[in-house]
Parts: sequence; C-alpha cells; structure tokens
Amino acid sequence: MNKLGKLNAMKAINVSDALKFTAICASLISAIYLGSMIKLNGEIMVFWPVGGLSVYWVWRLGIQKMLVPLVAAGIGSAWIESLDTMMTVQRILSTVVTGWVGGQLMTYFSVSRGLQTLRDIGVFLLAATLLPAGISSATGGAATALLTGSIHSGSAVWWACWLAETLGILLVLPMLVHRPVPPTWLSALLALIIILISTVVYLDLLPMSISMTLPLSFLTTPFFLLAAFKMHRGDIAWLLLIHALIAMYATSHTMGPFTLPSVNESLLGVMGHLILLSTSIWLIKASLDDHKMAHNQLKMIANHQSEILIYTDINGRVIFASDNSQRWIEDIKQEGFNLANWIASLTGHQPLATTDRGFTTKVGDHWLQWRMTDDETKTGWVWTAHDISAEIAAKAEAAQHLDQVARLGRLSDLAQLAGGIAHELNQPLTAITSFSQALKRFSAQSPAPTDKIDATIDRILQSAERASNIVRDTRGFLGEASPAFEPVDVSALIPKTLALFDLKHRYDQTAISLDIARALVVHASRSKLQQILVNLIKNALEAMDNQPGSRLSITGYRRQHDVIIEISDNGPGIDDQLRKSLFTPFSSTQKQGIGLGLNISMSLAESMSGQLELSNPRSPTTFTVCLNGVSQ
Amino acid sequence: MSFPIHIVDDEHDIREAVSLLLESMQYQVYAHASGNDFLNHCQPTDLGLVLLDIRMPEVSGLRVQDIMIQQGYIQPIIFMSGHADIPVAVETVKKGALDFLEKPFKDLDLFACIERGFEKISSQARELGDRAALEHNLAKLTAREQEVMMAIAEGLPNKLIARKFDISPRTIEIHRARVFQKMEVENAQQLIRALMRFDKFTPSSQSHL
Repeated sequence: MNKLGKLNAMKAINVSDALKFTAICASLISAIYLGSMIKLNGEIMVFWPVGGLSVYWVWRLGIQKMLVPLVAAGIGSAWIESLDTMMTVQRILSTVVTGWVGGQLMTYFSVSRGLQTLRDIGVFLLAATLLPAGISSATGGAATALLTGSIHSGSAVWWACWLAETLGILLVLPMLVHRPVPPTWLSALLALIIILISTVVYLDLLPMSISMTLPLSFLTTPFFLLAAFKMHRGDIAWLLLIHALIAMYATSHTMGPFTLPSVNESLLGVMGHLILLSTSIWLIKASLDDHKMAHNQLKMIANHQSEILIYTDINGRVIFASDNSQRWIEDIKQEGFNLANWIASLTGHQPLATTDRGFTTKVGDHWLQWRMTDDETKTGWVWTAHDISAEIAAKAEAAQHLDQVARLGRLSDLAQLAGGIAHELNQPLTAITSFSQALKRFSAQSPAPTDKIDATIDRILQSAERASNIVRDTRGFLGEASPAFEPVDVSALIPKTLALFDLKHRYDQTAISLDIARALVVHASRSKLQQILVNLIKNALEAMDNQPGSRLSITGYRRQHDVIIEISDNGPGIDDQLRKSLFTPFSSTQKQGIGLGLNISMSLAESMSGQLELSNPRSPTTFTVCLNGVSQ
Repeated sequence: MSFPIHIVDDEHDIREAVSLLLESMQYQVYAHASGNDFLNHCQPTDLGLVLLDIRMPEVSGLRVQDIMIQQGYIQPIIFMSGHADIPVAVETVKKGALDFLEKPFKDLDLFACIERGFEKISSQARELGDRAALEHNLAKLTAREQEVMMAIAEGLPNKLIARKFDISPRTIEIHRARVFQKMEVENAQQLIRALMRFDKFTPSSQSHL
C-alpha cells in the first residue's frame, strides 16, 4: 500500500470515528430529551432511556472512548433545557455515573455480547441495571429534585428516580443488543394481541364494572410468557417497550388498573409492575435459551460423532436422530418413522419384544452393531449403532488365515502320519488281492464251489469298505468338506483319530486307556477338533517315546454346558522353561514338525469358542480341551 | 511234496485271505495271530514253512526270527512286508530268511516262494534222515571201534594204529572191518565223507566225538 493509500485509510477512519461520535452524542441527547419530556407534572421523570444507552455504549466501547460523549451529551441537553450550572453538573454526573458503573460491571463480569445466558441476564439485571440506577439516582436525579425543592418527600423521589433509571436501562439496552427480526405470523399475532390488550386495559376501554373488579393488569402476562417461548429477543424488547409506554402514558393520565388517588403512587406502582414483568420475561427467556443451548450442544455432539444416535418413544417412533443416521437409514427423519419396526424388518426379530439389548443388522454391505437402553424416565429408548464391517472383515480374514495355517498344519501332520496310514490302507488291499486270487482259483474249479465263492466275494467287499473308510477318514482329517460348525460326537471321533496313528506297531509298548462318556457331542468343526486331538496325541506319544510302561490316557466328560477332553501321558513332563514357550510358534522340541502344533491347536480351540490349556505339566502331563457341548 | 504252512499275521483279514488262497491250492495251512502263538504251537524240529508278517504288536516278525534262530528252528521263513519295510526285509534275508514278499503280493510269486521253501525243507528232511542214520550207525560202535574209526579217518596205517593203542595189527584189521560194516561204508574215503558231512570229523583236527 502506498503513502497516499495509507493517508486515505487514516482519513476514512477519522471520518468514521467523527460520524460515530456525533451519532452517539445525538442519540444520548435525544434520549435525555425524551426522558425529560415524559415527566410527571413537568417535575418527576418516569422513564430515563439515556441510562440504557450509556450503559450499552460504555459496555461496548469502554469508558475512555465514552467519557467525552457522555459529558458532551450532559452539557448539550442542559443547554437545550437552559438548566442552571448546578443542575448541569448534576445532569452530567448522573449520566456519566450510570454508564460508567453499569458498562464497566458488564465488562468486568464478561457478559457475552449476545446477552443470552441466564448468567448474562443476571449480571445485567443486578449489576448493570439496579445498582447503577440506584447510585445515579442517589447522586443525580434525587439531588436535582431535592434542590429544586419541588418534592418534599426525599425517599419517594429517590424511589421514582431509581425506578425511572432502572426502567430506562431495562427497556432500552436489550433493544440495542438484539436486532428485531422479520416476524413470523405467530409473533406478529402475539404482538398484536399484547398491544391490543394493553390498549384496552390501560386506556380503560372496558366498562367500569369489569375494569374495577378484575386484576386486568395481569391479562398480558400469559401472552408475554408465550412470547418468551415463541418470539425473538429483539421483538420481545420492542414489545416490552411499547407495552411500557402505553402503561405509563395511561397511568400518568389517571387511566388503567394502577390508578390510585395520588398520581405519584400510581406511577410507582406501574413502574414496579413493568420492571418485574420485564425482569421475569428476560429471566424466562434466558432460562429457555440456556435449555435450548444445552439441547443444541447435545444435538451437535450427537451429530458430530461417528456413532449413530437415535432417541425414540417407548414404541420405537423416532423423536431425535443424529444426522449421520440418515446415511444408513434414509427415511429416519420422516415423520413417524418407527425404528423398532425397521430393525424387525431386517433381522426378523422385533427388538422391543425381546430382552436382548444388543444386535446387529446388515445395511447394504455394512454391518451395524446396535445397542439400546431405556432412558431413565422409561418414556423412550436410546439407540446407538456403529459400523463394525471393518471388524467383521478383519475377523473373517483372521479366521481365513487360521484356516490356511491350520490346513498346512494338517498336511504336515498327515505327512508324519502317512507311514501309518499307508500301512493301514495296505492291509485291506492285501486282503483283497489274496481273496481275489483265491476267488479266481475257486471259479476255475469244476464243479465251482459256489458257497466258497460267495463267501469270498463278501470278504472282498468288506475289505474294500474298510479301505474306503480309511481313505474317507484321512480326507475327513484334511477337512476339505468339513462345515465350520456341526455337532461332532467326541466318543466316535477319538477312536477314529487314534486309528490314524500306527499305534499297534510303532507304539506297541504304549498302553492306551480311553474313558469317554457315551454320546459326548460338541458344537465344533470336525476337522479342527481332530487336528487338535492329533496334535495332543502325537505330542503325548512322542514324549513317552514308546518306553516300556508308557500310558496314554484320554478322558472325555461333560461339565455343565461344556465338554472336557483330557489327554495325558506319563512321559517326563514339561519343565518350566519349555512351559513358557509352549504355545508360542516355532518352539518345537521334536525332530519332526515345525513347532506350530500347539499354537495352531490353541487358535483352533479359541476359534470354536473353546480353550486349550496345559492343566498339569508334571507326570501325568495333561492337556485339557474345553468345548461347547451340545445338549442331548 | 507238501509241508504245513504257518501264517503269522496280526491282521485277521490277511490271515483269512492268504489262508483261503493257499487252501484253494490244497496246501495245509495253519494261521497264527501272533509270534508267540506260532512259537507255542510249533516245535523247532517240525517240518514246515512260515509266512511271517514283519510288523506285529508286542512280538514283531524280526523278533520271531531271532527267537527261531536262537532255538534252532529249522523252518524256512518267508517274510511279508509293507513297502516301507523293504530295507528291514532285506536284512532278514541276510540273517537267513528264505525270501520276502511285498504286500500286496501276486499269488504266483507266493507259490513260487512256497515251492522253493518246500525244496529246502525236502533237502533238510533228507539231511535229517542221513544224519539220523549216521547217528544210528555210530551208536552201534563199541568204544574201541570208535577210537579205531577216528584213527582211520586221520589216515593212519594199521601198523601205527596198532602201536597207538598197543594192540596187535591183526586185531586192528578186525576192528576196521567191523567199523566199515557198522558204518555201512566200503572204504576209508566213504567213511571220512560221511563223518565230515555232519561235522563228526574235521581233517587235521581233533575228533568231535
């Protein structure tokens, strides 16, 4: 910016300041003039609007900036009214004191510019209205009136000045703070009703019989209360002012419900009424706004969090729904949308009809995890939901990884078991070969021994079935077609698993003892369970190394809803060091294998909501598998 | 010529199948479910053939072979083995088993093995007969005649034999004639061969009697 530009800017500021200064002075002088005009019998002020103006300007601009305009306004108004020196000083003093005390206190208590919260209104009423009005009337107005000697009762004058000053601040300052907004039809109607009622009541337009007997001064109160709920502050401020002017004009002309034998007393009465009315309305408005603000804050929090937050009535009809819930439920903001029915249409279960307070729904490709709680007053439900698709996907991925690793583990196990399985399979094949050769010879004989031929064919079929059973069991162990969960009979699975080991030949010194409850059925994956059993049996057998006296014990029993399988060996046991790394991957002590067996087995047990643990590290070394039983 | 065949296998199906096959060929078959079963049933000198499974619980086929060697069983052994046990089976042959068959085996291979076994048994039987005859003949000799026989086997002339035992050569002549007669030989060469066949005599060493 060049020098000329800067100069222009400075000039512009100065011009604007000067204009502001002039405008403020003019407004102050007009306010004083207006206040002086509304004097009862030309002596006592009933409404002193300059108090409101001065407090407002000092609060907004600070006393440094406002001292000169306030003094100037005092001098100006005194000159217009041709007051003597004494009165001029008093005028200046009262104007400055009101603005100074009220404005500074507003600043001191850091009242927010919107004059909105209950605290703001409290400070405004006590510190910026009643207090400065009191001080000012004591120092200025009252002194003036006493000096002129027109009123002899000092206390009554002080009260009148204080009320006039208070009314001036109370009615004017809110008007300056809040700008009027275009009225809605309701606020326009309310304003009209209030003005109409005040006109009718205060100007005594009703028959004497009614106006004298009924407390008509309170007729506007319910409408003002409604206005506090439904109208904007700026409109309320104007309405209060208009109402007050009507009331004061009427009362000063001995009309309306406040009329008493003495005009002074009548005025004091109506001013008190007006102050109390204004105070009540502003306090109510502030309380409402506080409430609304808290509500809005809650709403904002609800809308800005990632969870879906919905409040419904006791029947599931939506009362409030956070904005993000619309992302998932398009119609949620429609009038009368019933969330409970919507969930029922997705899950097939009416959430309100069950005691289950947590459930999941699938919306599009996403899974929502819901939780519902009844509010403390039992008048509605709070529903929260969040997107758990990522968690579910991660879980599915982990399960898939486990499946892959487990399959590798099974292949590795199978490789170790292959010799035994091949031997097992070779037996029926050998039998079939020999039976077939015998059959060939029998059929060549003459006469053919038909009974022998038939018997031999039966034996061939039996052996073939045995062979195919072995193949089927082996494939079953690989688990290619095994469902994720099915009822698995442990009492049948354990002997089948033992058959995979070449127990008779490789472990001929090992005694096997089985104690398995009959029809012991678990909810599990057959191939996963068998893999766990293979691992534990293999470990036990290898630990004992077929030493004479070796004993492998397998116990299966039911414990409440669980099925417990214990596999123990009387091998050397597991020392503390090994025990620490027992379930960690790649910690094998065996020559064969990659050390994943127990780690995989534990993961497999957990994937079936079960457990695998080393229940006794010493002899007999015992591993315990705990799975969900299927009740009979 | 046929001999009893003993099948030793812990697998019921295989015992049945092989028995049936052999019976279809009119062999005389005995099935045993374990090594001990066989050893209890069969004496070391019984003539016969053993079809022995290598892998059996408690007493394995190898162990049965060892016991048979220890106790002087004469039955030839044909081992039955799975593919994985072939190296073991080869060892059994080195230790004197007749042969081994890999399961499942062809019937003709089995029969061929059995026939070879039978031939071996036949020659064993002949040998046993000859040995029995020799023992029988030896038993007929007097003590003096036995001494004279060993001297003859040593190749000593009558004169030296007479001096060794301090009797007349004439008497030695009589003993020699009696020995030849009782041992059913015609000359010293035949006598030496008969004795050497059953280890009754080793040249340039002491008598085993």
